[in-house]
Amino acid sequence: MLTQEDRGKIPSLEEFPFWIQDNTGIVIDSTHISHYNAAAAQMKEQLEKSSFWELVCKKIIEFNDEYYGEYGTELLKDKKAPSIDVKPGDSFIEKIYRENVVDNQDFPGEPRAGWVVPANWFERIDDILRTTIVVRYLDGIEYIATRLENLCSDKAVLKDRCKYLAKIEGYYAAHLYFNMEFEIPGMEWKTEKIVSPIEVQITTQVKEVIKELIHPYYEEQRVKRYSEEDMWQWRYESPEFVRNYLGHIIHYVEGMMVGIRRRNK
Amino acid sequence: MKAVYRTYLERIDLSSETLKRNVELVIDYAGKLCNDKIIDIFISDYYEADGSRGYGSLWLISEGYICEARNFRNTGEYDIDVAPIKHAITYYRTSIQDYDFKNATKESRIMVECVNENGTSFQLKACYENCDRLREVIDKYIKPNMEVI
Repeated sequence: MLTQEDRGKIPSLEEFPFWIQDNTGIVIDSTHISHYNAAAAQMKEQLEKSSFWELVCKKIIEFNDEYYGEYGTELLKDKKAPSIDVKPGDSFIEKIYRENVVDNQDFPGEPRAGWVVPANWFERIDDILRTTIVVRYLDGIEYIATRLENLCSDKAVLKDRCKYLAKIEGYYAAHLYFNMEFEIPGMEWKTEKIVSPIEVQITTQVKEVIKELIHPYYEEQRVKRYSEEDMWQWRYESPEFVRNYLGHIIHYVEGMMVGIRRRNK
Repeated sequence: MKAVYRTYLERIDLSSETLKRNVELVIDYAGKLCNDKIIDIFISDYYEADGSRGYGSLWLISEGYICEARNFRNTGEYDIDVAPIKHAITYYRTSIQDYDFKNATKESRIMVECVNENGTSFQLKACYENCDRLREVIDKYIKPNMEVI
């Protein structure tokens, strides 16, 4: 992996709008953020009213009862329709920065898939709208993920196969993406049609609690570059050591719990 | 399945087709077990400590019997008890919380415990809007079946 010295000076999040304008001529300013906020709010409303989302909400209840029929326990933490969250403007800009700078292996060159800029960011950023489905047990993640994947595939909206994440930092979850067509106000207030991905995170009740605890840490880490010298695994007094291993231990314990539950059936 | 049962199940947040199929199957089994036509159903429910709704047994009522299906949500694995009900109730006790017998609120709860002539007892409980349904069950099937010698 390239070090910071290899790549030259990396602009900070605050410097990034100036850097991209100076180096590519692309402008990202407060007008774009206002436009993003207005468009994202409309996207949320359209998704909530869509027949596909209504179907998803109905189907997850169906999956819950099928799982109960099979295992004698609830699949979902609760049966309320999952809420749809909009990525806040500042978090969105941070993601644009990560895509173009932090996670761009070719920086200061263009990312392999091209710069993420106002002209394409509604299509490129995959979690402008995000929902989380919380299941009770670890085996529920795959159970619901495969069924949702099939549903999205049947309706021809599946963007990518479900990703089962297992990060070195102790983050485990399934992420599924489906595409939706939206009508949003254009920069000149003329309506535009776009297709934007929606992120569905599937996690367990326990992992959700842990995520809430360590979320501020991940926020901070995401805008930092990974360094091979940063061996948190050996810094047993560091917050990273405790938080990351907590994620791994919880995952292991949750796996054992499913094993016990199935043996007791 | 009768439309009235579908409406009832949906009203207590049991709306999936899987669940409706299970209930339909249990109605069929119970009818065969007691050799009587099932004329009404009731599902015991309650709130868990975390605020989620939990479900107890499915109760199936015929003219002569009351059947309890304990694990009615477990596909293909049912456990059904049958007890006489026709003029067979010798005692019943109710416990009522935040319910005026008209408008159930989220805090409303009813529990009714019945003992019948052979000494067996059964307990039905309801929360929120299901209290209205349990009140109907008491009026239609418990009170008229109090044993009169």
